[in-house]
Amino acid sequence: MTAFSITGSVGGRDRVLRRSRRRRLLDGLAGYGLIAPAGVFYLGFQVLPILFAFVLSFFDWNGINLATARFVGFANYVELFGDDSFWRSVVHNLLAVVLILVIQCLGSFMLAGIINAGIRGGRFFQLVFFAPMVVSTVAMGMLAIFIFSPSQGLLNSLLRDMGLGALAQPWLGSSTWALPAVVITAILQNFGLSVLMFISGLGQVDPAMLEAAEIDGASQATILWRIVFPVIRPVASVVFLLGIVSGFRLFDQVYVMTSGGPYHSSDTIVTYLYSIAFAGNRVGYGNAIGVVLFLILLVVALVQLRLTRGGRAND
Amino acid sequence: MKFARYAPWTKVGSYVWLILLAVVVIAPLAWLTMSVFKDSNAIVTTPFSLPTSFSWQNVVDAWNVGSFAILFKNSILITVVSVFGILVLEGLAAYAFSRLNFPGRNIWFVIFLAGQFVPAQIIALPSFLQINALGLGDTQLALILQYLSWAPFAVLFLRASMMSVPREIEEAAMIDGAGRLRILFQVILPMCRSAFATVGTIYSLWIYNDFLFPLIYVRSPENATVPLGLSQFQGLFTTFWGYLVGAIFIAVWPPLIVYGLLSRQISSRFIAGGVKA
Repeated sequence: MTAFSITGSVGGRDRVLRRSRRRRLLDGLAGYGLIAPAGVFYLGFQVLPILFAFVLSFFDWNGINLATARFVGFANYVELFGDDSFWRSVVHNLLAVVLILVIQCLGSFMLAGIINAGIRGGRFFQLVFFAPMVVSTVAMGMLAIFIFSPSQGLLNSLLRDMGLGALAQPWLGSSTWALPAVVITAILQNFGLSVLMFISGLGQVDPAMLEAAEIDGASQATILWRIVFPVIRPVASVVFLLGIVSGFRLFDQVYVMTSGGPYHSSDTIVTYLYSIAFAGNRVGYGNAIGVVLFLILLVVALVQLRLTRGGRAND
Repeated sequence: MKFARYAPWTKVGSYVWLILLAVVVIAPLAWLTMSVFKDSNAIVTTPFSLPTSFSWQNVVDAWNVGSFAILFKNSILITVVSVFGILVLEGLAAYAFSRLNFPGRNIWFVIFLAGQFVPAQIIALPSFLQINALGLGDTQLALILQYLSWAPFAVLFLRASMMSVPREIEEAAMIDGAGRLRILFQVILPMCRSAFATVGTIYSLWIYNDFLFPLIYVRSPENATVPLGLSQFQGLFTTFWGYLVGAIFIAVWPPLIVYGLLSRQISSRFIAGGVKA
């Protein structure tokens, strides 16, 4: 510690060593003392539950009386593997991820590019796009029910007024359209944050580089790929990761807007987990679903980490 | 920074996209605000016309039916206590991780960070069983305990900002005889004020708007939060549109007004949080 080399010249080497050893011990105690309060809550309500989820996934239990819990080994996972309702939910989540990547991630990049180009009113649009982020998912979901409502809903009224009545759908009551409608609602909520993040990333592109590239006659595509993309890569990877994760975690909007219906056509992994655990009273099986979701998200995070690391190695 | 010439879109095309999305965001809110002044019948029959008379009846009815006074009190209390607790707990931990050398520091740091990869949706079920086992089922305390455990983002973000405080400043204070805690409160804290504000803003929104944990932990209406109370209006969807519109109006506008007043700070803090997390 440099501070003590200064006092060392005054007090002699031995005293400094003794003091620094005491300091190190104090630092050790202080270190644990300072992380302990946060650690108690974190271990108690994050780490313990996840371990608990792993353990319970090997049991058959109704969640009420611990005496009725029965160890079943991998039976829950075996059942899950052959559970069509579970796989249907996984497919719905994958569909949500695709919609989010295309509409939210690519769309927000496009709009960020437009705003970043210095268009008039850019700040106003940023302000508007971000607004849904501060509103609760429940309120947005309930507002969306009015929009998608079949007979008096805003969307259908608008379509009919424009003479496009043939396109009107019972959106949330249709097994084809319920899931996309829910996902669009979720996207609208997060879109503004993606736009803002891309704008902050684009702000780091060096204008001199762009000018030089243009003088050299580089095409738009080359500039985008060679100059803009490397700079915004870290931001883009965060936007894509958050998008993918939000697709797999989709719950609030589904619960509020469709409860997974009609006929499970908008069920997601998390809504399925909770119908199993709370309506079906199958806590062990529910936790097995949770563990699988955890593993899926872990793989996503590791792939993302790998991709961003790879990018840095190439620079 | 501008590279207008480089943008591959024409100006008109650009505005079409921007305005289209702005309309998608604003139209539902405009419709909500118009409809709240109409009676249930007019909401359905004339959805696009301005209200003919201004009556707050829907808002007043929804406020009373939904006991929104209790919901707001609960939500605000839970959010304030949890966010304040998070800032204290994770501020101390972040300081230890950024400045103190203690055996096992890196392992503990990794343990704290690992939580970033564990979604709340997985924690909810096992933690609900735990809460029940502790006899805290259906309490607001259970929610606060859960929110106080949302450490990873705050620890990561606060640590990063404390790392950027030059060590020389701290060492100067140390030579002057200041202890660790005094350095934390009088040197580090003032210099990391914006990082604490960022964490406070982001966590306030996360916790205030959280739906999953109240849904699972809380049963009785007197312990419900705004999102949970609002979701229970859903049963009215087929009949009482007036109440419903009033309830959504009550839930939507307070956060929007706060956002309108503090939009620049809120959005810039979210960017800081999003980019560095």
